[in-house]
Amino acid sequence: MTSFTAEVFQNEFLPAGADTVDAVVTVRSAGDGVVGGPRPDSVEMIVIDTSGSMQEDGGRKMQAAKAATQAAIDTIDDGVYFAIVGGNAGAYMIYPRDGLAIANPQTRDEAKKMVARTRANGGTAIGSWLKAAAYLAELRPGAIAHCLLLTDGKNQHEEDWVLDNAIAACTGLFQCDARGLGSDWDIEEMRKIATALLGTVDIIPRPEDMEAEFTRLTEAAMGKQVGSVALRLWTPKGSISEFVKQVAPNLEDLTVTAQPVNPLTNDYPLGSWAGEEERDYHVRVRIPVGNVGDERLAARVMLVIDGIDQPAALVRAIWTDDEGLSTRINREVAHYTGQAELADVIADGLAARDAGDAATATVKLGRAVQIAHQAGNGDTVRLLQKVVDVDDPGGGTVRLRREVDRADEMALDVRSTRTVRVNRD
Amino acid sequence: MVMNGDDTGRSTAATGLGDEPAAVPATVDGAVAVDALVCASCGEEAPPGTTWCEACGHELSTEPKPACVSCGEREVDPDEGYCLSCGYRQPRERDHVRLDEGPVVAVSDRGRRHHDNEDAVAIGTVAPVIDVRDGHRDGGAGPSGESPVAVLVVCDGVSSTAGSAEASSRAAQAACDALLVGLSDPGAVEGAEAATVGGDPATPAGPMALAPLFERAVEAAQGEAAGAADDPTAPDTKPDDGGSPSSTLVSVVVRPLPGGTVELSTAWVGDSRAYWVGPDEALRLTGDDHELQGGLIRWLGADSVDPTPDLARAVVGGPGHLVVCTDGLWRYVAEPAELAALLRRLVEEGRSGVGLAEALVSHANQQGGHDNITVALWSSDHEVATGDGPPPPDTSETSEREATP
Repeated sequence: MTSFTAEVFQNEFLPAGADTVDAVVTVRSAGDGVVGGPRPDSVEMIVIDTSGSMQEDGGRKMQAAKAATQAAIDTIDDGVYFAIVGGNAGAYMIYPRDGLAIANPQTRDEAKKMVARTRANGGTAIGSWLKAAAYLAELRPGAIAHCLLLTDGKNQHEEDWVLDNAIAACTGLFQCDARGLGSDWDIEEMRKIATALLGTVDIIPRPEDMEAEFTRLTEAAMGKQVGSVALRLWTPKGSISEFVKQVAPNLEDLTVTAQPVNPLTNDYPLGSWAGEEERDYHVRVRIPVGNVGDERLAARVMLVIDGIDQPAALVRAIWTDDEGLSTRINREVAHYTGQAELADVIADGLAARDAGDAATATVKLGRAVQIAHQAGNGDTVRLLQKVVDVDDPGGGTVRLRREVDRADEMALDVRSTRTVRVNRD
Repeated sequence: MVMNGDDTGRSTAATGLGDEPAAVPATVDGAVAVDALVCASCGEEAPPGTTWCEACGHELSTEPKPACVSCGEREVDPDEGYCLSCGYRQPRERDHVRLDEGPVVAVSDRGRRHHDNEDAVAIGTVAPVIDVRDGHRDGGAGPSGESPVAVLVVCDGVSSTAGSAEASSRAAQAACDALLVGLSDPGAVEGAEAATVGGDPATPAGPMALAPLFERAVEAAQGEAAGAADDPTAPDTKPDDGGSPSSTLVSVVVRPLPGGTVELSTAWVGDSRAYWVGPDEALRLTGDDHELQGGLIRWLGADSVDPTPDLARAVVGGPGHLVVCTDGLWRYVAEPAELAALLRRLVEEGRSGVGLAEALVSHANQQGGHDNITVALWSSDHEVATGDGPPPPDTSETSEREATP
């Protein structure tokens, strides 16, 4: 059985009159090695872009996509329900002919053969691809369903609202990792999909990077043990839950995903979990102010695992006139506040750069270099260095580079929400 | 030691059934069925007669929850102590403690500004170990001739280090227990034996007959305070800043002597104090182990540099009050004369016994209650109605102060 724990990190001491309580909640899953009943059904769907643009560049992209999909098929465990879907102006089944196949050596072989025969042509209508995945996922209700979505272009051949409707129809049915190949796709479109469907978004800059990424994502999907986890948050009467964010392994604002349980309690879906996994969440609650010496429970954090709630972790507020206590900086809260600022200044800096505001872009991206340098975001520093020349990382002194590869800029943008874990040594 | 409000009497089972208890059948295991139950845990409605929520497995309760002291909603979770509506932390047992042991009483209070009560108090009495062959009770000793020996121990957990609430409560109890055991067994302490059995109780042998007993008691207290550092279950909320759990300690043994005088033997580590307020005198019995800037220089705990107590002995004429307290009280009445004036006023208002201790604590709270407040009180005339005006002048006039640091 997989068990879950939630641990709260905070400074519970507030100065007189303060009403804002910050806490970082670390959620851990741990398998105890005991096989607790049958593993739930798994559904793996690979949806690949087969629009005409995939055939450009002498067919290199399509060849790489086929090879990557075949490699991913090889990592699907026996017994897993799976399907390969092709996408252009509509969606069509590559394998099986209809519905879901059950993975075994024979079906995997058949699937790889059908992938090899796929041809690229036509437009891009991503909403219709997602609807096909929703139809397939609904064939195995209650299963842990995952979709790997690949596109190399923008959603050109349907209206925005069609995509939005499709995303809404998929929410809660499956998780989706969205990947963009090259630099002609739209980050916001793919981010919208991944955020709503509790997955990740990333760029695959070159066709030859695709196979490793597909294999990694499919293997990770095979490791999921628990399909439905939610963070249940009780806050006191008269309080405001200002935000609930996932802050590690990447930033994801969950505030708007709140599902009311009762007037004081909301559920925030956390998707499926592997047997050994850790994620951090930052919760900020504003509560009615107490007197010095008073204590108030600011939040009660529970985990709902497949509909059953687990023992709670408590976020507390104690008002004190001892400044030695109230001014203590909680390491976890400070670290993730910094990580959130890092993502913000990268987004602001790139937006300013796009708008031709070099002065703002230099300041913002300089600050980004400074935070990333101090917090140990080595990958982010490397991405920033492709957009700016760094004179002094500690001081945040940078110069904008004249020539920037579009894919590098996109990589910085799309990976700006990746965080490093707080150092707990 | 008795804790007031400790309900050991018979209690009838509360049913909380509402309007028609007679119509409600009890199930075999004693649980009670009512018409509509809503699970307190998941909010699911449960069919009548069930004792467990079928949706989440939570035990269904038919008891109304206690009312919140802050918002009044009947939503207090009795296990966790928080209101399930407004989140307010309900008062805990240690927030306000009352002890009543006849001539010796105590009140300990969280105060107005601190979140936890890290003070601790322990009191007790023991029959005097006297040689009845002496027949010294014929000397017109009056009511005090039968008075038991009283032990008062007050500890102030140092609020800047985590675990000090545990350190102070363990230290106070250990010191009190050691003193009571020693005083009830004259063979256990040579000095005490010499003083009470071999010598003349009216003129105790040596300046501090109880010194060995105090040293043993404080040693026990130091061991307990140091042990608090190792106790992972110690309830505390403060981040650990590296200091060990630590506490002050002041302990007084009160021995009524024939002739109406009283021997007060005092041992202390730190800045908690003892005062004697008699009819004509008000004395401070302890010194503060403070450096010039006011920081503690001696305390009990794993990181204590010098846990040896200071000792002092005084023989005073009754009637009067011994006040043993933490700085949560004495910061408002530091001078003996101020404390004497306050006591006189409260006694004139009719306060006595534990009510007088409560009134002292209330006074500190009215002054701001900036710290935890603990008062242990021994009154020579605890059974005599107070407010009768000043007692006749005492003739012994004996008061001395020795072994001050």
